[in-house]
Order: sequence, then C-alpha cells, then structure tokens
Amino acid sequence: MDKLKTKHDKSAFFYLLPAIIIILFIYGNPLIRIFWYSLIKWDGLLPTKEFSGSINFLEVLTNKYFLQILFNNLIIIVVTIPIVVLFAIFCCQFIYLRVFGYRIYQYLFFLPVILPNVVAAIIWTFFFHETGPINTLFTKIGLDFLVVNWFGNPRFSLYGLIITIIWKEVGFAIVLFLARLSSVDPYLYDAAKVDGANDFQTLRYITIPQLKSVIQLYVILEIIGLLNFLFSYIFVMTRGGPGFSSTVLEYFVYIFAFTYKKIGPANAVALILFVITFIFVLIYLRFSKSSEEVD
Amino acid sequence: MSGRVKSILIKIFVQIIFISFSITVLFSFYYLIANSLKTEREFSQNQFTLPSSFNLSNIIKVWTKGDIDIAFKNSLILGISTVIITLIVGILAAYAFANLKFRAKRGLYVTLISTMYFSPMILVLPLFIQFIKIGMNNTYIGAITIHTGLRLAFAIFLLTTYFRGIPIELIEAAIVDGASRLRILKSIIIPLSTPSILSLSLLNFYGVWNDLLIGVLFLQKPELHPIMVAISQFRSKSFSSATSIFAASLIATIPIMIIYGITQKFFVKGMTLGSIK
Repeated sequence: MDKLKTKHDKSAFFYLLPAIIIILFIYGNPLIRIFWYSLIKWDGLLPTKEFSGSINFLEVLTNKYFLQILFNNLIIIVVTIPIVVLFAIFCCQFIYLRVFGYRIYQYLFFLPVILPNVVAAIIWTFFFHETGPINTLFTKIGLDFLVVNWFGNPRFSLYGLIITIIWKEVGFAIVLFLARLSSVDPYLYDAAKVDGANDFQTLRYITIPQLKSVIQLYVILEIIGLLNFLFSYIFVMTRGGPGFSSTVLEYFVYIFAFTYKKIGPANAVALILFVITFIFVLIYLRFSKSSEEVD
Repeated sequence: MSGRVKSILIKIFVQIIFISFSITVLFSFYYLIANSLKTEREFSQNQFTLPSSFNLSNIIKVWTKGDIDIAFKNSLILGISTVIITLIVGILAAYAFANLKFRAKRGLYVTLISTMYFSPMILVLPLFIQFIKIGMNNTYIGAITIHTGLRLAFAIFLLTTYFRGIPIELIEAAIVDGASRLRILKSIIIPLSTPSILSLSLLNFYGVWNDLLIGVLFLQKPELHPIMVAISQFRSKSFSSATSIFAASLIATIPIMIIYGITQKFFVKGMTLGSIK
C-alpha cells in the first residue's frame, strides 16, 4: 500500500482539475463541435440541423478562391521564413561579435516585437499608403517604377502584409538565436580568427552550424505561427482584399462565418486549418524537448 | 584584396544594413508620436515633419470623446483578471506536473501543452455559437475564460519547467518537517519562483492587451470593447481621422512600452523560453 502511494499521488487530480476543466471547455469542446458542425447543414441560428456529409467540404473545396487562399498561405510562409531566418542569423552574428553600437542595435531590433500587432499594422498601413513614406521614398530616390498602390492592387497587397510581418518578427528570431549563441564557446571564434578567418567565414563555418537546431525549431514554430496568428494584421491592413488577394485560411474562416454567415463551410475551413496545424505541431513536438520536461 | 581591407569592408557593410533597419524602427516610432501631435491639416500637408507645436488635443480628444478611456479600462480589467486566474490555475497544475507522481502524466502534459500552438480562430466559431446560447457573449467573464484557456498551456509549461529546477532537498526537508502539500507550494515553491511568475504575468498581460480576435467576436458592445478593438474600428467613428488613430494607437502603446522598459529581462526570457525548449 505504501509503495503504491509513493508511486501515484491521488491528490494530483485536484491540482490538475481546474486546468483540465478550462482547457476542455476552451479547446476540447469546440474541437468536437467543429467536426460536428462541419458535417451538418445549418445556418447557426435555426434549430433545424440536417446531416449533410461532405457538402460543406465540397462547398469549400470548389469555392473559386480556395486555391488562391491556400496559395497565399504558402507564399507567406516561403517568403517570410527564409528572409527572417537569414536576416536574423546575419544580425545575430554581428551583434554577438560586438560590432560598433551592438547594444543599441540589439535594443532597437527588438522594439517592433513589443509593439502591439494592431498598432504595427496601423503604422504600416500608413507607410504603404499611396502618398505614404514608402512611395515618397521611392519617388525621392528616383525609383518611380516601384511606386504602387500597395493595398489597392491585388498584386501587391499580400507583399505589403509580408513586409510588415517580417519587420515585426525578425527581432524575436534574433533574440532567440543570440540566446543559443551565448552558450557557444567563444574560443571557437578566437581560434578561427587566429587562423585568419573573416567574419563571413566564421558566420558560415561556426555560427550557422551552431544555430542549426534552434533554426529548425524556429522554422517549424514560425510555420505554425504564420498559419494561425495573422488575424490582427489582416483585419487592420487589408481585410483580406482586394478581392481575396491577401486572404489566408485563418481569415477565410472569419469571412465564411461572419461575412457570408455560413457556419458549415466556415467550420470545414477551420477543420482543414486544424489538421494542417496539427501535423506541424506533431513535427515540432518530435524536434523539441518540451515533452521531456516531465517523466 | 588583403584580409584587413576585406574585414573593414565587411564592417562597413554590416553598419549600413544595421543602420537601415534601425531607421525603419526609429522612424515608425517617430511617425506614430509626431503625427499624433499634429492637427489633421498639418498631417495632410506634411506627414514627415515635427509637429509645429506640442499639442495634446488629439490625445485628449480620443481619450474623452473617442471612448478610449473606456476601452483602456476594459483592457486593464481583462488583462489583470486573466493574469490572476491563469496564475492560480497554472501554478496548481504545474505543481502536479513537477512534483507529484501520477498515471499518464507525460501524455496529459504533452496534450495540454500542445494546445498552445493552435489558432484561436479554429476555436472561436463553435465557442461563439455556444456562448450566445448560454449568454456568455458580451460578458467580461466569457472573454476572461477564453483568454485564460488560450494562455494556460504556456503558463503550465513555463511554471513546470521552473518548478522542476527547484532543489528536491528543500522539498524533502519540508516533508520531513511535516509540511502539507499546499504549505510546501505556498512557502517554498512560489517564493522561489517569483522571477518566472513575474515573466509569465507580464507576457499574459501583454497577450491580452494585444488581442484583437477575442475582443472583436466576444465583446461586440461598444462599451465592452478592449483597446485594440476600439483602435481598429476607429475609422468608423464620426470624427475619425488619421491623427486621432495615431493618438489612440499611442495611448495603447505607452503602457506596453513602460512595462517593457522596466522589466525587459523578464519579458525577453519568458518569450524565448517558450520556443527553445
């Protein structure tokens, strides 16, 4: 009996209960409902609910904007992540090597991360305005062909969004990479210097290999983030437009539900987003050590 | 090209890149502050110059007539309540994960933690329908429950990680002295974990302050609008103008900047810990 008691602690249940109840209510319960709602034909208000099988999914998949929206998700990921990662590695290397003014740079580069998303989105909406700072700058330096109506033109609105996201995200990657680099033996850099390596060579042969594992984690985490946490930017900057040119799956759920008021298809999109995210979360958990925290 | 020249060229190149990015950051803040102090006419004439006079009338106007004061107060209520509830629930759960033994611990832990990564957008639709049915939409308690749920995984993760670092000898000594579980939690674990508790509270407050989605959907009545919703819908207000939007944005940014300024280290540590592990 005593042995059992040291092995399993019944009081653990009471400590965990409040957390489990809240998570079940906020995550468990809606997830089950998503599966259910995505399979029925229902406008969300009427009591009549009829089983409709795959009709909601068909409506989503045959929606003429669906492929474009998936493609927008893909573009955001494949453009944002390499730029953020490369720029962050570069900054990280030279801040680590204490380039002139590195303390100030380190401080400044993190400021966009702190700025509330909505505020950052508002500032950059003005930046991208037809007569805003960006177009003014292009005119001043004689690059008139780059002057475009960023958020009025479906060809550019997505890129306006991406530039804002990169600007906001890069500081976090720098801090993350620096934290890893600070545990690297500085002797490595000194030895390389003695051997005549310049700063780009140490970047290539020391910094990048040392950062490899943290970069892997960051990339997976950032894919999850870009799939799931862009609502504030899109809602403030483009509302998904013009047309659907800057709509992503996440925002499509919102449009289906609250503009079209179609509950079934909205849930079908939410379910698709859930499945895609779930795959990346599984990959992340495999790579990360978070599950080793408890045993 | 000799190695020395090359290394100087590299340094110049790095400075050019760093200064360029710094300018975008500094200019954003300058743009926000300068334009929130201008009159609408001044702004339309030139958005780059300093304001001709130090004129706080926009800020006073949005605060008193633009309902930003109410939104500010709403966000404070939401933020502080979420911070407190998340702390209590999170500490209890983290204690179980870090110090107690029970069945299916690891599975439960991983399941709870992985909720951290899913978009609130996936959940809000069923929750929205359910909240209307049970009358929890347009209530603080409804929004606070959602915020707590969304932030709990990270709280449990951060606290469990920290609690596990507390020397087991301290806890065993207390058990020998006959201290109860709750007493150990209260007088050993919590006092030793103040840095992580502080980090967590700051990040949770920041998260709620920063939120737009939950506010847009679950606090639709204007008198319940949290600050980010109030700002994002400013354009539709009768007197709305660019300078008022800047003034309101500035008001929303100041508390965050003050908190960050005072507690920089805790803030950054908490943020990075969640990703590295």
